[in-house]
Amino acid sequence: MTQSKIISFIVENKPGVLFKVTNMIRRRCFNIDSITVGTVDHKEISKMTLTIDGDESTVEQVVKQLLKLIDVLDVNVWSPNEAMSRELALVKLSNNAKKLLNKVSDSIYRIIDTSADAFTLEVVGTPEEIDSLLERFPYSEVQEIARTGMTAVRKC
Amino acid sequence: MVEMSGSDALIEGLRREKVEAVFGMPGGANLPIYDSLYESGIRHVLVRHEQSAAHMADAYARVSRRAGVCMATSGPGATNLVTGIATAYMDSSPVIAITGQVPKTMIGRDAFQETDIMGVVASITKNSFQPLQSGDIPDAVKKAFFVATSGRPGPVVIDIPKDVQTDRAEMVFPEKVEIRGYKAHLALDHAEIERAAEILARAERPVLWGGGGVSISNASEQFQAIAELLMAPVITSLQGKGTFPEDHPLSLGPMGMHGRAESNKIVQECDALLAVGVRFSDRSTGTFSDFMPNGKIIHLDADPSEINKNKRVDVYVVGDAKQMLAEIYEALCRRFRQREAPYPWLDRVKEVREQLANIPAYAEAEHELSGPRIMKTLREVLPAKAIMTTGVGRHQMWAEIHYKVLKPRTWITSTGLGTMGFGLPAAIGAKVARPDVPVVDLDGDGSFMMTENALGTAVEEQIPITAIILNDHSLGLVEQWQRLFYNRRYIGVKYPRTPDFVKLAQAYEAEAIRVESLKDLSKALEDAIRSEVVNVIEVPVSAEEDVFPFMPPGMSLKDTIYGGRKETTIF
Repeated sequence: MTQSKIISFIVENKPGVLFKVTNMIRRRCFNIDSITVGTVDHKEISKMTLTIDGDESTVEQVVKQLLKLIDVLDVNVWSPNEAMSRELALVKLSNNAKKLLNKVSDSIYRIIDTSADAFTLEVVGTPEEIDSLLERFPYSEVQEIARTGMTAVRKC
Repeated sequence: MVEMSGSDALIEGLRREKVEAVFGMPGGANLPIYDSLYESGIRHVLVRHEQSAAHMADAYARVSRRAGVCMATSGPGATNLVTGIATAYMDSSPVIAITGQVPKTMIGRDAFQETDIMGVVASITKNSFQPLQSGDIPDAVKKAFFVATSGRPGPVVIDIPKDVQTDRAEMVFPEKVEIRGYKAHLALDHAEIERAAEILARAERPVLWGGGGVSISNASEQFQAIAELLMAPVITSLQGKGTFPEDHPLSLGPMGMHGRAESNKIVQECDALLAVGVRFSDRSTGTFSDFMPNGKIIHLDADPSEINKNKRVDVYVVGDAKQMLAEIYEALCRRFRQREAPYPWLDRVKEVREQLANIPAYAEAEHELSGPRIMKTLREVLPAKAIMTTGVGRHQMWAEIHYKVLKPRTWITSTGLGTMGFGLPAAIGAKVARPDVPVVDLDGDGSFMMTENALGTAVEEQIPITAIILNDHSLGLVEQWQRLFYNRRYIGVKYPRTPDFVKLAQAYEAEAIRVESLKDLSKALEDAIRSEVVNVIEVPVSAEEDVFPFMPPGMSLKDTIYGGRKETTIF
């Protein structure tokens, strides 16, 4: 039975580490949904977050293979309900789409750029919230989308 | 602190690691390293092809339990090492591969002889280092040796741009290094040790399964003590051959695709399997889901990622095999008294041995130069301490089944990667590590021809090894598969014009002889191991003689074929 898991891990902030992580994932044929990386705390370490839909033994192997990489310092595995997770999306829409915004709960987006024929939304939420917001806009009104992938922390 | 060039610091680092010999070849991008080697007192063995250098370093490491070092220039020199690095990775051998790289300013510009070797070897090394300042070299060397030789050993690459080799810096040589993301061994889980002992103490039909990890950890003594306490039959993986003396009454031999029939059968009947330093390779277990569906499995290994990778186990402990086995022995002694033979399980083992004694695979072949008979002859001639290396193919499988290995680290073979061409350079590396014992490369014509130019190295460097070539003018094991599974549609397996190996060896100024009988083989081998020169012995064999027992690919241990035709399966 597959289940969605968030794997949050700390790595050395050095050249080649992202490659080593993604190369291992490719080499072992792990099928991941997203991966994000950013520096945290101080310049020497980064935090990576990957999401995966897999059975128990696959998740176990991902964790062990990550720990086997010398540049990986610590690994945490969370179920979605154990973590606070967010993703950022930037969505450029034609101005026709503005009227559709009224129907959307206003808590997860703001307009950060406008022009005569288009505007850009910054959307912050869970991947599901972003998905459901994007579904409201007809394909023809969407000019460009960029999404960061999910990052997460354990719930308080 | 002392000021010196990066290449001098590298060689000083090697001296501090007590490196006696390096195997390699110079080129444009590692000339400064070679210049520093000039007055170092470290022996350099010049190869004809870098693949051989990696195999030599690998075998040196397996025999000596110390890191083996090979060197190559950038680009093709580095990529020629790759097969050897992958071989070492699969068999957990601590090889340090030192490659030259184009100068820093040229990296990424597709410079002459530039290869991204760091990227190429990422999935076949334990780690790799590319010092970008000459002052970083001492630390990189220390870390490389630490990572390669500790925990589950494995190859490490140090890739050094040419300008980093020549740049001078104040060097600090660390006595110890720590890598915060790397722990050689975790603390032992004593509760699990107790659970393992409990299962073994209660087991009525225990079996021990030893792999390469037992030799690596130098744990044969502890492994044997548990076997004798429990009076448990012992099987091995192909890599683990020799971790338990194969002439011991409890020894059943290797299990697997070309394992001993007794091992393949007995393991299916056991109620507790103590698996030590093995990785549940498909070639050992067959179909994972069919392997040990009933009995309990206890897995001891140095590498946490091997636990539950291929097969779910009931109890596991991660750590150093020697320590884990010593603790299990103590825990057993607290709850178990020395078992006396005979008891029902050993009676059953004896019964299986007797049932299987006359299977076609074990029957004495009529023709004299048959694989099994050659293996028995080699064992009669070679002293127990002699080291055998092998290529990959029928000769290796015959040795697996019929050549009894009596001491740890005297059986050096490529099992995980199955690298043809391993045998001859491995013999050279083994002999450099152990000049005091006879070293024999048991080879086939196909494997031998892949790295035959290493004969030149053996002769020039006066490394007196003996290569025995079983010549069937074929890629014999592949031919067997085409015979059994592809209706004898032989394609791409025949070498009707293999060179005259006697003349070939003589052209390299080695001693050489072709033998036509077992008596002549004995005599030739006795002469060869007494001599102080390189010897080649060619033994003509038939390509038609299949290796049995045989668990067909994709099948289970219960499907093992005992010889001749498929109908002879008696499970």
